[in-house]
Amino acid sequence: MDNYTDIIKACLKGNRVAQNRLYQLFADKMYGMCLRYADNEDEAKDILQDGFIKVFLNLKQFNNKGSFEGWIRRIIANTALERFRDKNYLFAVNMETEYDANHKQYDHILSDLAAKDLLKLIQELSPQYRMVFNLYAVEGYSHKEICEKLNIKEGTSKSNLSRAREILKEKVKKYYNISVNWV
Amino acid sequence: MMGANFDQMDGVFRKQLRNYSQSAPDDIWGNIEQVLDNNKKAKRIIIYKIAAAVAAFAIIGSGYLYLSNNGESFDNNTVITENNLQQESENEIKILNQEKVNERIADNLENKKIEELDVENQKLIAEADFVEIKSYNSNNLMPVGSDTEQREKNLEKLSQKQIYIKSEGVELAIIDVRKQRVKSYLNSLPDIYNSYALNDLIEDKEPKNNKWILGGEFSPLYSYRYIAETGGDYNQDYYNSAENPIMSYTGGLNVQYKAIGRLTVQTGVYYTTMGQSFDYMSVYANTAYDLVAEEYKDRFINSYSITNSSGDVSFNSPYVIIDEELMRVSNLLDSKGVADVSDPIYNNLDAEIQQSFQYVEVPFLMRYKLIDKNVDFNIVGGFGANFLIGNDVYLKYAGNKEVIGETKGVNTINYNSILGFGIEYPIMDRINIRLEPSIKYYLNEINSSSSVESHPYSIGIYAGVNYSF
Repeated sequence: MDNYTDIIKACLKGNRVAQNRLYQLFADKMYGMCLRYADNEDEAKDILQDGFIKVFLNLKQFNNKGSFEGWIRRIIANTALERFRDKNYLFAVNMETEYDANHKQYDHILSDLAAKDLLKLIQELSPQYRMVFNLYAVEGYSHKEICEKLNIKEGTSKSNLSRAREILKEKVKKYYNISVNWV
Repeated sequence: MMGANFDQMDGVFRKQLRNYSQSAPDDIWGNIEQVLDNNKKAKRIIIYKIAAAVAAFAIIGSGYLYLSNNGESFDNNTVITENNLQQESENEIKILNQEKVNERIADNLENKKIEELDVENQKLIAEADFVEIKSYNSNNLMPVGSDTEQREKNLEKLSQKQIYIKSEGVELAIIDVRKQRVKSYLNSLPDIYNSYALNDLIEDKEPKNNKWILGGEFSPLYSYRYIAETGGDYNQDYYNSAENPIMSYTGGLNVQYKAIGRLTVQTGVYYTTMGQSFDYMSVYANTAYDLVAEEYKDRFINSYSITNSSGDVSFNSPYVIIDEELMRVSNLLDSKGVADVSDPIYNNLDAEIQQSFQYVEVPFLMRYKLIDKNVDFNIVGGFGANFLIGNDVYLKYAGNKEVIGETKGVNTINYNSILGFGIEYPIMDRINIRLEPSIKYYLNEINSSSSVESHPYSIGIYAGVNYSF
């Protein structure tokens, strides 16, 4: 069970030091999450910034019952979705670009390489595929929840997910030639 | 088979990316902080605007009341003037002290560290709202190492009020000890986490769960009445055209108890004046009245009865009162005959006749906190009992206010309903200021013996102070 009671109380009083401390505690993890939803690092920074402002302005609404990290995570995800909706992506356009294999960072340890490369693959998906894939595969939302969040039909959510998976599968085959049994 | 493969694929992504963390760029926190600061400032500006509006309203209302009462408050004016002079000289002394403080600090603190200050300088700092410390060793602020406690004590001792700490032009912190908290730390602190430990020390440990609140408040009132039924020859329009609202006031003490959660119950004792004025009345003084011998003065006294929506007013007076447009005045003594006011012996006073009712009001209110933040918003509702303690009809002219009679048959106990919307803002640890626009409406008619069913009401903006304990 998270115990952030003291720092939340201090933040609610407007204590800037406590707010900074809270930000530092979660910023890196949430930035990692923002990168999954964003086209690029600049957009991820914007989502992180807007998301944390919402966290501080709505902190009073956190009722201490669930996980505090989960609560922040939901706000960040919603901020990313709002941004996605504001951009008004009406159609799932296949926007994937050629991946430059030279960018692979071979000098990192394997797990780190894998995470960064998977992240890059997700970022290359078209925005709607990326949203659906993130929400379903990584965050664990159901199609019903996704269609409510994105204001799309459940069938669209399913077909977007299916298409996203196909694209990811093709990209992994093409660029990495990594022998994993789901490819 | 394909589904199972995809589940596995999702699993790989989830495992690698669900808790994926990457160092957030440094500039983001600065942007967030700026937005939070602006948000705070915006809230503060709204409060200041409301406070300024109410202060202006209170000043105008008080000025009106003062001007309308200045004929009979000569002695009070003298006292007020003396008080003002005293206040002014106190302010002057304060300013001089402040200048002295600044001089002393400039002279004595240059290139010195806080821990080197002597007792006298500490006292001077305590008297100043803002003190710039020219040179400051940040190690004194940062609780590091074994003597942390002593360093914190040094700082706390100095922070009797509010200290604005600068080190070689770099802003470090603003400490407001009246509110028992560090008002803000600025980014230039070398180690934000160490400073947080200091903040814990200075900050009030837990807000005390004060259940009781003692308050005082005052409001100018717009006072008038609503006529539900006329019951006689005249309709509501007739009364509305013949009468006017007046500006009155109320003030008193209240006690509140925080009952459950956001709900507070409140009662208190208030002194309230209400009333209305007659329109279209011409009042003439008979200039001969002052000149004749005492034994003949009685011959100039007229007896009148004036009717309005609140009841009948009967009085004896040397003045001649004529209703310009309506038939509300009866001259009760035929023997005095009809005065010819065109005769130069009569002097038109340009007077106003005003009914005034004074009450001791005991309200019973429920107060619900709609927004429970630094600035609270409350909705207030309830009932009040109003005990009549004064009932006067005034003749007001040329700065004079003369009681000429009273309204017959008005109820001695009245019940009103109260609805208000309040804003509270903390200025000190236990002290809040409050602004509360409120409307009060009498549930019963003011005069049961009158054929007119008239319900007085008042609209005010209450300004007050609360003390929690």
